[in-house]
Amino acid sequence: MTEVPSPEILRLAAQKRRNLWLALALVVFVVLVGVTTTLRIQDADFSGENGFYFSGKMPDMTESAAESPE
Amino acid sequence: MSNLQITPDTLALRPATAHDYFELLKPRIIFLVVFTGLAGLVAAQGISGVSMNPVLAAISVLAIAVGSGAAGALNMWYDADIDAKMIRTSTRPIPSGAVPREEALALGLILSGASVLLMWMASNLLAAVLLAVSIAYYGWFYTMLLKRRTSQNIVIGGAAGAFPPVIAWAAVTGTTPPDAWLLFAIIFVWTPPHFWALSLVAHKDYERAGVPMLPVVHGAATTRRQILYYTLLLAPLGLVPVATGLGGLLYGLVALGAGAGFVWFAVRLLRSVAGDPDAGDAERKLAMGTFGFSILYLFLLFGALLIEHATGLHFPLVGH
Repeated sequence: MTEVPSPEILRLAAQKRRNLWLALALVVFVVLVGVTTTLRIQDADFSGENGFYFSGKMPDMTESAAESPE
Repeated sequence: MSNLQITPDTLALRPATAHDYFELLKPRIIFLVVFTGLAGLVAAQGISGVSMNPVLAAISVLAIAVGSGAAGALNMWYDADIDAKMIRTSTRPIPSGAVPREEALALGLILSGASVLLMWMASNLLAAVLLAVSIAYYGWFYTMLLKRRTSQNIVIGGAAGAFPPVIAWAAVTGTTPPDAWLLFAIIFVWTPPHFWALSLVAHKDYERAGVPMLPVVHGAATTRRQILYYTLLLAPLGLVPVATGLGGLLYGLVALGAGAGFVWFAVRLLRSVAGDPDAGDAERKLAMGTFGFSILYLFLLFGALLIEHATGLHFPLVGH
């Protein structure tokens, strides 16, 4: 004879299933954000002043450095 | 008739499943929203010549779908009391006791934020703002302000469902040209006859719940007349994309045939007693037939647009 599970067991089983779906949804969201970011960076124009790092000419600091007491 | 009996015992025996949470998002509406959004996205690329990365385009359409689902969850959270009074909606996740109201609210708010953020990342700020506006329009303006106050609820609220092609167009080009708003206008004018055809069958439900739908407030005869007026406005409006060059020959033929079909249904409905106390099964079938044809109408129009621009079958009758 099959034993009928108690309501508490059913509730916990349902909660576990929901938690798994929630975890899956979070993983999907993180993956989507990751994919979007990667594609946007790939398509972006980083030439010239749009670059990640400073690649221009530094201002001449010799005069101001000379006036400095140190 | 529903045999729904919500007691603490039945609640304990019916724990919420993932399907219940999915139902909170109103998947049938999502399907329609995705379809019109996708058509807008493809047409925008065809007309503007701007191409969007297909993966980013897919994520943008997904964001529209999730945003629509979020608005649906907010609607179910707020309308749980009237949903419980109506037979048609009494088995929804909240009135059936499967999902607590506060969880629907949390789901709606989280998905709203996630969808707008995703749209912004995948496309641009304008598309994200339009998506946020459309969620607020349905979840707050229509659901909380209009629905229980005026018989014109669905006329004004219809704009909520009309946003997807505009959002998609903005996602591709960063702008919302007249062609995008033309697609908005078609869905906007289509919404009242679509919903009123259903409300001719479900008006007793709405009356029981105290929702002032047009047949409840002004009667079935006025509703049937209004359905015809809006359909007579919609049929030529559906042909305007041919004049602007957005729709080509295929679209024009489809819009002409589908528009004539919709008017035919509306005329038959006007001559019937659908929604009246003495209405029988034939009138009920006619009202549901009109409701069903209205869905087909929108699918045909946006499907034709999608096919034309996706397959190179776009033969405009006027220069764009």
